[in-house]
Amino acid sequence: MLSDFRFRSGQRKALATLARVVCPPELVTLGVLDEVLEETELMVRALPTYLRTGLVAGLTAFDQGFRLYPGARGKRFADAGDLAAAEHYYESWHESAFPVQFQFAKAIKGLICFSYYENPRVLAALGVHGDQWIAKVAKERLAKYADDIRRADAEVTQ
Amino acid sequence: MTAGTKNGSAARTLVGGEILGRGQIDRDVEVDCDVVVVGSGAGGAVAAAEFAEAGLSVVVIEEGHHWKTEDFSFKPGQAIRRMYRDAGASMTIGNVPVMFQEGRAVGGSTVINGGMSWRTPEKVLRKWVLEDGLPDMSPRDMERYFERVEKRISARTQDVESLGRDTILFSGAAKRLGYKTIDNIRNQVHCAGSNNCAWGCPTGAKRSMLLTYVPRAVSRGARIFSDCRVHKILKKGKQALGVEGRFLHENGKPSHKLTVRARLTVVAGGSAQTPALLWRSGFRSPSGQLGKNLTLHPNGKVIGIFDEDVKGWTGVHQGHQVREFIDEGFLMTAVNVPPSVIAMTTPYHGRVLGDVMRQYNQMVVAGILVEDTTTGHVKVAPGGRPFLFYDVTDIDVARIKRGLSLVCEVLFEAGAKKVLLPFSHLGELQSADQVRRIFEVPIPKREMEIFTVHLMSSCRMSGDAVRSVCDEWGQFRDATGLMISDASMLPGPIGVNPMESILAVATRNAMHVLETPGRYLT
Repeated sequence: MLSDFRFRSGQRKALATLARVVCPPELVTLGVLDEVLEETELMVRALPTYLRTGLVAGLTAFDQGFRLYPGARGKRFADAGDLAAAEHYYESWHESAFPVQFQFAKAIKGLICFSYYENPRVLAALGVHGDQWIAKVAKERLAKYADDIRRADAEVTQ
Repeated sequence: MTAGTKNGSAARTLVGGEILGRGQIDRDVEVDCDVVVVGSGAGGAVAAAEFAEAGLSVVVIEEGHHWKTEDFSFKPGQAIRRMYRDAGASMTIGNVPVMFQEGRAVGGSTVINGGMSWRTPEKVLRKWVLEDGLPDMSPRDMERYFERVEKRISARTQDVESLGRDTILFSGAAKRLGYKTIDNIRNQVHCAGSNNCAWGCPTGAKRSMLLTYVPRAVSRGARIFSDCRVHKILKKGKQALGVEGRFLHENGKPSHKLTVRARLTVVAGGSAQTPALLWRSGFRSPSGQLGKNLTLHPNGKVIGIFDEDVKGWTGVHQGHQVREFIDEGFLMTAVNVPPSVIAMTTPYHGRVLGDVMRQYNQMVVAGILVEDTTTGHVKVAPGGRPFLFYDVTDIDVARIKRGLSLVCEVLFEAGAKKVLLPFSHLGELQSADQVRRIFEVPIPKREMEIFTVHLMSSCRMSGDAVRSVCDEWGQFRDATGLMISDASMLPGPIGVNPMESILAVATRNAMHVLETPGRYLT
């Protein structure tokens, strides 16, 4: 089930900066940032309301909290020009003694990196071709065991 | 079976034997039948098929959608959004958050599980007989139920050609170390080793409920309503009278109402949803045990990195299991995990994550399943949503550390050049000599990455009324016409994958109802 939720543009911008921090550099070289954000949004839409609300609230706090961070020059995380400062800021949350900060950093990184490695171009670059493998072995199975499979299917309702 | 809309006109010609869901229901529906089953997973589908085969009119209500074999492919994210409750992001609340998954689809969690089909271990059955007041559940008593379900789900070992390199490396090393290693028995017909079990079997080889008990029930006239969430069990005093629910739009918003009046209501929503449904319907257990005694078989995993190409995605999910340590409370296996899930759960990010993931095709992921020594409980929040509370004990932490250390040793024996641990400050191990670091360095519980797909026992059955929610046949103790048929009724943890235990106990309890209908079909 997918809720009607959509990220607002400011939230999307913060996510884009986060993606550049937590994903490998190939995010940029493969040109998949927009697709990763689309996938992330789909995953967030599938979350239950209470988790989605918590995540979005965490994103807002994370985004605005950057203003107070040394090196941020008063900017929001979404507008961080200096990726090194953005990365240090993310790590400060990930290493935080406060469970809420730590859990948010872990969850948002997990979600974005999950989305990155769902991308077909990223998978191809890794040499993972799951659908091709499925097609190959499915064909071989049918060729080798067609009679057994038909018999088993018929037994289901007997 | 009769049905009609609220004003009495026919909602649809009901001939039975079909699956109806979103897009096929255009008005409120009311149905009268003998048995209504809430949930179509391992417990619900079995109950539905057994009752339908006996000639009873059966309605099954499933919250998830009716996805078919042709809908399944190597798209974990899409599968999670479609078939995992809450996108698989559910967590227990406690000292270590345990991520847990529940299936939400016609066929329930069996559509997305690994397909391990193990009988309940004899030591567990003996415990149920001796300590849980279930005298009719000895290994000999249960034999006929295991045989019946094994035939119907085609439980058997894998064809050798379906085994992947990860399984061969891991089990080969375990054998060299002298560990008892066995071929997995799985519900499959010539599994092709597509390694897509958790995202829906794309070849139809895995004989989940979707392809076995659900069509069997439908062929005997059962009606299945998918995309429908049951809100409450209808009741009069302590008599269950059926259920009420709402069909769901694709965005989860409610649409038309479904009312099913039945002589017997079977709740089979799983160990989180079943106690929640009972609770919000106003049922209470005089024993105070409703929602308690939750066990969950904590799982942990590590990643071995090899010099050679393993391509864990080419071969069956869990071909073998290492059973050497079952008496210590855990088993081990190699289990491939897709790149997205590894990236999500490993404690790396950025360039380092990229460096690790570039070795994906050289990875063997292996893990443990622990028989837990403690229990948690299910609480229902205002609004009816269940929340699970569970504290991992020091004993189980010790088991997890011991289990993972042994998995590391097996991986090094198999030829791993390094092993990545799921604890960020320990990082990686370069050799078997370093495995002891797992014990030398204190690991903060918050850093432990534990997950599970085996929620059990939150409505456990027992002959002892003080310790249970259900009687020895799965009947809810404090009501008539109400029965539970899912993992929540199991008396406790069983130490192995529980699907076949659920199937067999559900079969046993349904057959008992059919043998004494005057008592249960009110």
